[in-house]
Amino acid sequence: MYRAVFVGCLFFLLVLEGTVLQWVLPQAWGSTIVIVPQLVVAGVVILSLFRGERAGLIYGFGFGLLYDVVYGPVLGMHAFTMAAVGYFAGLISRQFAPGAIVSLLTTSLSITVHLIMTYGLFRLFGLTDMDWNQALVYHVAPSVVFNVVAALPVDRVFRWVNQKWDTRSLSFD
Amino acid sequence: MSRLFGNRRLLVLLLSMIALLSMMGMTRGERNELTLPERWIKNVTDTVGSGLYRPTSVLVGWFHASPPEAATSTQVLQLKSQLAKLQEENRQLKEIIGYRKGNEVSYIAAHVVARNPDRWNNRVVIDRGTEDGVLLNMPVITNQGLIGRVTAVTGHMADVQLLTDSDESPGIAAHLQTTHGTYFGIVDGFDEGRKRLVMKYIPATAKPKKGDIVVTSDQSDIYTGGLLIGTVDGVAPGEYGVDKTVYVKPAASLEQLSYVLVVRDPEKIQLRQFERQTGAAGNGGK
Repeated sequence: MYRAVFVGCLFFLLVLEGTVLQWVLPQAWGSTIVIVPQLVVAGVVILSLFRGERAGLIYGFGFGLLYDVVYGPVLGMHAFTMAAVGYFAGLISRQFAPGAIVSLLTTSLSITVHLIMTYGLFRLFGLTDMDWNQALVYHVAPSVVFNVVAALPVDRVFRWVNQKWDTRSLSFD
Repeated sequence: MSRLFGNRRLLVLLLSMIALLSMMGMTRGERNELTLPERWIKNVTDTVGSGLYRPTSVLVGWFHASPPEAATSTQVLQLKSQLAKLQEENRQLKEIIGYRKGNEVSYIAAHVVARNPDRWNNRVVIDRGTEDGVLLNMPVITNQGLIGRVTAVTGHMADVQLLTDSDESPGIAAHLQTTHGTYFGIVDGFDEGRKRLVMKYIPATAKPKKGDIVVTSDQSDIYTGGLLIGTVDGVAPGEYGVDKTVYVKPAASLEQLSYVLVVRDPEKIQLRQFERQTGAAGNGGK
């Protein structure tokens, strides 16, 4: 049951990224500062924090692939990056005592790594020719700030879903 | 955790990385058709997306009552007079060569339903597909000017690659219209820093001024002639020293897109069909 709810939530976040957020973020108003929403990534990372790295890997791969089909220029790119980020977020959270600060740090680190990874892959495959400085200063830095803040409500909701629908041991998946 | 299991995990990781990288390589670039599951997923997601995108566009429209003025009123007047002149000329020429009514360019109106959130490149999704007559590579415009072309199409949805997208867009054959004459060039790429399109290979004899108009050329494989791309904003010497490069400010606002028109040009469709049949599709001058 909780799986269906998580899938529903992640799908909603995916659709939100391409629609509502594209009207309210600064780039829609002609700003040079561009915020890349990473809500699905944040969701996958949070999920892997309390459901383990394997769940992070699977959800990351599934939603990454979905993201590629819906928005991406090539298949497999986000499937790879999101699965990797979800997996390593789960590993990180295992090494430290679970808590708000670890969760926040893991989320921000994962989002930063994911943004840099996707930019790197876009450059590698020649899908963008934005230069490194431009990408880092105007895209990655503001995006990290925005997404860490946006991850807080996602975190609350996912935690609530996890508690409400699943009473099993948390580290079992 | 046993050593064997650890090794197997590493092996699986390596194999999946190779599989994903080759998948990326294969799906990279121009694809003529999407696979069935892709079409299906796209249709579902975009249908859900359109339920969110359009209400948001209406809401933002309320807060943002006066849309940004794309061109000054003198420019609009200039264009209107030019348009009237060209339309008349066009009608006369068509009469002379006995042009059939069926060959006329028509437009398919569409709503934008989503935009790709990763802004390393620029694409939008529209809610018209093959069943409405949208085909691959059709140019897409707004009332202000050209915004891009269709790069993928399903039954009810299509992906539009915007002009600002730097992903191997083949370059648009274009005409630079100055007071001294019309010059041919290629609009190829987008300068992220300046926020201007780059038009290359203009003859050194041209004297482009700020505000000169850039339109698509009829010699292009995919673009209908005379679609407004933008206005000249800056001039620089070209790559080879014997040509000029011009920075073009896009006429259409590409930031907030809600209502667009897909240009259906029967001539270009026939041309592409012919090229596909003869296998003579050249990549140049798109």
